[in-house]
Amino acid sequence: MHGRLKIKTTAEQAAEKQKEREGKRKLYLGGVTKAFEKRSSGTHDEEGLKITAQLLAANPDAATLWNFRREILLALKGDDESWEKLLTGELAMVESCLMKNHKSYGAWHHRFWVMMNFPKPPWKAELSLCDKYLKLDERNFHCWDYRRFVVLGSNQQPEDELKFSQHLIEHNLSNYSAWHYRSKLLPLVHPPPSNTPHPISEGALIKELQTVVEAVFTDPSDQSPWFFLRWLVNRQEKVPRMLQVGYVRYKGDSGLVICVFSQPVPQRAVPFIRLNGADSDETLIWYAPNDEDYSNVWVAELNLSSVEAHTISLIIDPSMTEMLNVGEGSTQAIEWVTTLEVGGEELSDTARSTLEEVKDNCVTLDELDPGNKWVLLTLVDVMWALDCHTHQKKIHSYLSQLQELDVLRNKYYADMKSKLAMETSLKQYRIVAEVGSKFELSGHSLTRITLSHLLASTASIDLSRNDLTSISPLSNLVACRKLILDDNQIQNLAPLAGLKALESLSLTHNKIQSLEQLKVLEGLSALTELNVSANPVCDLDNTGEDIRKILPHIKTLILR
Amino acid sequence: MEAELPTEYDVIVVGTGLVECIVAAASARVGKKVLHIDKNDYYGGQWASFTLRNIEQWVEEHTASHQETKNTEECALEEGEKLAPTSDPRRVYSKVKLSWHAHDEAPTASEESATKDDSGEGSSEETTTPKAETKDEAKEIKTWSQEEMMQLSRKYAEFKCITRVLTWLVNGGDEGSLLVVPCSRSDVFTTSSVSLVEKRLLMKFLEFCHSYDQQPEQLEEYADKPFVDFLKSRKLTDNITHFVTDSIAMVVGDVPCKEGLERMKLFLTSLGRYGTTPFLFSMYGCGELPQAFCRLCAVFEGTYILRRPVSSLIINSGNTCLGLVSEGQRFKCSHLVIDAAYAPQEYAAIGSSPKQPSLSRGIFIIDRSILPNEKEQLTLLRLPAKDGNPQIVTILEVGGGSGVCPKDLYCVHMTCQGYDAEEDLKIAVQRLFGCGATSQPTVLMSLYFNLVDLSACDLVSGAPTNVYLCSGPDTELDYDFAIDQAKNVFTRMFPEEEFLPRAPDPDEIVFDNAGAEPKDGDNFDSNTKMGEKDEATVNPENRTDEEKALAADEVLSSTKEGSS
Repeated sequence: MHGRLKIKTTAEQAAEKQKEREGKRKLYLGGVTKAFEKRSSGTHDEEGLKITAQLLAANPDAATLWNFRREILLALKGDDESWEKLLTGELAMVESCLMKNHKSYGAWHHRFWVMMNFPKPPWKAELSLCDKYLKLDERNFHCWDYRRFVVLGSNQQPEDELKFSQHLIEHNLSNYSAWHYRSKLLPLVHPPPSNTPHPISEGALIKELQTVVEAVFTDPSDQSPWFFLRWLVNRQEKVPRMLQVGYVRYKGDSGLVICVFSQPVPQRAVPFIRLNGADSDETLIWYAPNDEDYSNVWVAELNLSSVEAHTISLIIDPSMTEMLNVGEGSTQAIEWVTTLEVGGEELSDTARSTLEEVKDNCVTLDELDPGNKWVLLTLVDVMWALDCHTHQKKIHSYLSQLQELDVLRNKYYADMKSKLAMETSLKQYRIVAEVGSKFELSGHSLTRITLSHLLASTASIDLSRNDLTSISPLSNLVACRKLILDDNQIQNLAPLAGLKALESLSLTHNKIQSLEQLKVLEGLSALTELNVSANPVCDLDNTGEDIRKILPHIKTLILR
Repeated sequence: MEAELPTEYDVIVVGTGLVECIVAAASARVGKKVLHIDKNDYYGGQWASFTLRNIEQWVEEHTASHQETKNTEECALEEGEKLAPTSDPRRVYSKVKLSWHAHDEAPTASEESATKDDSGEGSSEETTTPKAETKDEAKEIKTWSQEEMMQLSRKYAEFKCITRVLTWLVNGGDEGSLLVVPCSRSDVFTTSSVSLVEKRLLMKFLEFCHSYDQQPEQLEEYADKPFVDFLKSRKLTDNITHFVTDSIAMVVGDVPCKEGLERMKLFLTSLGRYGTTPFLFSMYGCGELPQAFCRLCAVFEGTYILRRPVSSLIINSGNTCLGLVSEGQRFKCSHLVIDAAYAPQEYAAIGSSPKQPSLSRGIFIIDRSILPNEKEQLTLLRLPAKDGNPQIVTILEVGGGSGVCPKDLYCVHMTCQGYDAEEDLKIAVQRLFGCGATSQPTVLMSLYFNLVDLSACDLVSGAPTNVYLCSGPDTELDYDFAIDQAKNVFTRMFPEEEFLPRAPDPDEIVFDNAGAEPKDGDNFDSNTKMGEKDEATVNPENRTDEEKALAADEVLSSTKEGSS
């Protein structure tokens, strides 16, 4: 018969734990000293492997020990067979460390290293290791990284990985990593035709939308599927295209050649230019108004005599040449190269009806769960993708709701409203306006200027009565002669410093405080009219004289 | 060994049904001296699980005519003592019927319901696997994963999650079909049986139920109204209402709103603890559970004797039980706990009234799942009492993964209230196994029986005050009733003691013989283990009774739990 069962008291247990911990600490420190001694004496032997293995099993984050271990391994490296054996042992050793801490940088790094050193890496087993650790922690980014590495090495097909992500999502629709992985795989498995604005092929788009809509109906408060849904419905223009070319005179024979692109492009994308049927290219010095390497607008100086007519040929590619005729005495010539709409390509009927369906579903969801930010945000996206002009009012009201619901991102939604106003009125402007006429968008509470490259050839622009603080996108307005920015919050005028064609600038009711801020306009030789009334700068003594001193070209200066 | 067996105990427990075992474990746990006796050579009584061969044996015993073999054992009685003979526990069973069915698929066999000829063929195949079919004699075991049972027993038993809940949905005029009930978030997401808008409505409703008691204002209006009315007010469609009432709350629609919501909440708060449904099934069958408590009892020095019939209880003149007589030997005790079926006739009115509540049970072995899936599933299905089905039938399907039958075969348990199992379960059998349609499973074996539902009997007033009668299984899914009864018995015996305090972890136990002190000066290069403790696993089978009693160390070091 065994003795009476006794149960330890908690004090006994605590004392025992304490003692155990002490012992472990001693062992660990002893081991570390020994390992460091070996390293400094350059001893690379089996014992070193054994010691580091035990130390790392207790503390897998000791990077120095991992390094020492790799040194030993390389020193012990023999023929392929023994090397492989050694590395196989390493895999097991790393896994025991991962069990202790499955987010150990050192352990995962070592595993990468081992696999890269393998003569014939055992990829298949590694894939199931990833499965295992992603089950333990579905957002373990170390393991996700490692999985991508293994997938690449093992030649695992993206189709299979797509299934894997599907499986994870079905298990838990909040697995953001899995949704994201999906967005990386889908374009590989279902690449979109080049002329569509969707990230993936239409068939896949419809299927994915169906799944993700089911996810958001199941739990609209979870943001993971919403991110994926927004990625699916957002239009993405894949290839930048040239939208517009123009020639604008600003003074006498001096003029600018302007090229406008749908996306920022490097200078090498600008076409070669030939004049009046010549058979060699002009040597022009192109620059970007914003001084960036990539820009939507590229400009070059070109002097053409105003008493005769000219033909400018732009060789976009060997099969496509755009001709620009500058008439005798005309001040500008502008041509649209592409007839496509602002947002990119047109939607196909299927895509349109699918998006309509998503929109209707979101409207239903909004009725069922009013006040869900993701529903509203997605509605904004979907309607925008469908047609921002027709849905402008709706989108605007959703954005207003969002501003109330999500106060912390109030400014973000205000920027979106600006973008909406800008995009819709630009669309309108392009439809009705004659080339080079006036663009006006005043009183729209704009906080931000977007798509300014579409105004690169516009001569008269009015953005008064808005909430603009930064006007840096206005550097694109290289053809602008008359610019009205009254009633904004502008301080910095530097973006206007390169607008050579500018003749008249109105800045009443802004925040220009010093002469310094006006000094940036000194290089604008065409600028003869300036209105700075109702700015703090006007309250300084002798403002008028001082301004005339730094800006001698100004003929009409209005201060009050 | 038996010769030296002590004859005086604090508690003697007769029968190894679940309630008895919990009481035995609880008593031993607080240091009482416990003797646990069963006349059977297996544990579990009405709760036992059997191998296929044992089923046949059991059926044989229970279909033979009940001849009252009068207990004629002699025992020296003292002044004023009398003997109260025990009853034949078989008295709670009736209408036991075991059939083996044709294994070949020749349609000609359909004329004659094959009952005997093919049994050899059917069974020989199964008995080739070492542990063939197990049947749970009395009840499918399911437990809410959050409930007490888990806290009590998970140290000593392994559990598997029920992986899906099915329902029978009649759509329009059709016969109906099986569907997976979307009960968790991922189910709702992936199911194709509810529409998009329904997904939202269902999820919203589930979320509400999860914390319904925090929003009393939303309920006021429905306090005394039926659950279905409340569902209507939430705009749930018929489709979802079906899922909610029949498969999640598992109530009939006219229960009071509050009760329905309470059941919803229990279901939902049990979800996700161990898996995708709130239910657990004990590996190797429900018979493992009583045994788990026996192990606990044995660890705390309870004494076990199986194959030991008890002929009578000894009662003194003050109608107090002094002990019992078994094989001529007299055992004394202060408290006697006994399976009600086994108790003397006069202690509980069992079988006296014909309309005593009774369970109808059906157990089937089939060759494929009732709703095949790529992975083996553990399935729970509740057939509501509508569309022609007379009784609510609870159905459990388990496969090879649960250790109850060979791979690729399934064991199906059906339970309902009733007096004629075969008749009561007819519709359920027809729906699931059909009449030989190729897509449906073929039944290889069927067993029907009825069992008196002792949970509904008065087990207290007829017995002496220190004799405690324990009931068998009831119709409920969970073990609440059994645990409550055991707790109640225990508190009546020992009002001052705590009921089953947490069992100690292995490292909290001091062993007399163990060199508990770790050795000092361990060389680092020796095979010192710095990682976790070794994890010993225990094979729950192959354990004899003696081993069990001696297995304290082994069992205690078993940290294998049902699931993480």
